[in-house]
Amino acid sequence: MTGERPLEGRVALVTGAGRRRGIGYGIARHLAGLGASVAIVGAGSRSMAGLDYEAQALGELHAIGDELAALGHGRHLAAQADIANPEQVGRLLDRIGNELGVVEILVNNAGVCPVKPLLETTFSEWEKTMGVNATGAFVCSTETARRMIAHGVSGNIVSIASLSAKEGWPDFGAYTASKFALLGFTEVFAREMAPHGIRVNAICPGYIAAGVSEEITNTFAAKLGVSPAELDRNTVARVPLGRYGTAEDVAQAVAFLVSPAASYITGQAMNVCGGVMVSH
Amino acid sequence: MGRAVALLFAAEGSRVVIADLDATGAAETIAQAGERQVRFVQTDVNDERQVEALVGSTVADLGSIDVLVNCAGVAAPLGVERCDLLTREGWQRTIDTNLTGTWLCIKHVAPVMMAHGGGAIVNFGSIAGVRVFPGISPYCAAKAGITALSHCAALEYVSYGIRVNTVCPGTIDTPMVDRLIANLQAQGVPDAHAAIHAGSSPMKRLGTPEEVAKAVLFLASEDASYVTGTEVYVDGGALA
Repeated sequence: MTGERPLEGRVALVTGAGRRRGIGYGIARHLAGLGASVAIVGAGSRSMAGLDYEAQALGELHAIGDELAALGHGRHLAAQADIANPEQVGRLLDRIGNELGVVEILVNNAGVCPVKPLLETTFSEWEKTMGVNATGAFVCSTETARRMIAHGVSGNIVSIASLSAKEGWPDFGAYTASKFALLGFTEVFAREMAPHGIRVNAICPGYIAAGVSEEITNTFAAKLGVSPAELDRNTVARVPLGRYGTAEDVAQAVAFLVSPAASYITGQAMNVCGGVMVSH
Repeated sequence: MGRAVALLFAAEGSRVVIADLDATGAAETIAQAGERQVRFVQTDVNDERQVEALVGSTVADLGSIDVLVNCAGVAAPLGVERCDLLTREGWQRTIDTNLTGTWLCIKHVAPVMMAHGGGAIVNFGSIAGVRVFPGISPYCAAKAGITALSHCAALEYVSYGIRVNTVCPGTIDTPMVDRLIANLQAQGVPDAHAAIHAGSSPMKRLGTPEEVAKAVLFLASEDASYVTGTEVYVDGGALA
């Protein structure tokens, strides 16, 4: 439906792309394959203590950066930053600006997901989840948009939300709240950025088979007292389309939303869920 | 919008059948398609026998149907009215063309898709199905109904490889909007044109039929293979 390398010469930043088989990794690969110069950022040394996530290894981040460079003619950059820290994000964006050019496509993908009922969720888990999922998107989006406006760039921002941004998921309270916040941010920022020609959208994936979701499956299965395989079967049974989604499924929706084909679409939260949203 | 969809799909290499009551408009679409394969079957989508004939002749000519786009619709054929002032005829014509027509086309096309291993159906909802406009209640109800119909069809046909989604346009630069502006001006709203254009969306412009068509193309394409039972709003942020 589009040219072979429709994003040739465009600069993209994907957050939370420091882990192979994650959604962010899939999106970064897809955008690079479409010709974009892709910068990726991983959580780096920021400790996720209290959440079951180890810090992304710098080595893996750079290996992915190399992989992206090999994929396309574009230049690539891999860096660590705390995406909820405006100064770090500002420095990162300035570095990307110098090395690749002004970011025209921002994909807010970084996220954390503690699996706990709200009564068991600690203050620090709540704060971290809101911090990465909601505040991180706010910081990255506003810092990026400021630079887009200063350079007259009609850019695109796409945030990876979740179906849990539209309905409450028990045992995923902090996550659900952060994703509702993300959609609220998206709707307001879409309106505020419309006069600048910047489009702001979100995607709400359903159950996606990607790196982090495997960990969530394991944690959740242990909590429910079933095997991960059994939980997988139960999950897939709830998907009308009969399969988990893939990072590629999400990446294709991102590619559509940032393309000129979506030039009248903004403030949108598009489901990519194999029909889960309407099935219960 | 139907014309833009037909022309875009034809440009992408699809063999396109357009079904409409309006033969003159259809002839213009075919003329604009040039060498591309677009054929016309005059059809009232609210007449089941005509829909059956349309589907039958399409399958006879082309072998199958991979994509169904239900775009036929009218907003307020007999004018803008409060609920208690609406005529039965005005209500019925709007419900029939928008909602019943969409159902009838699904009813007769889905079996063809089921027999051929699947397909994609894209229905036309509207932001009016979510955020209503007073005075056009049958249109708002029909468009909300189309979204619910799409959800049901998505679940009913998912195991047959048929995806069903809804495109919900905002205010698009079409003859329907031209008529709306003319109606408002006739009612003494002097700056109706400017108001409709600037007030249509945070982008402060109307959408184009081509922008809607591109969303239809995405939903019908393999790029949307995990997307079913959902809406894509092409509204310049109006619903945000």
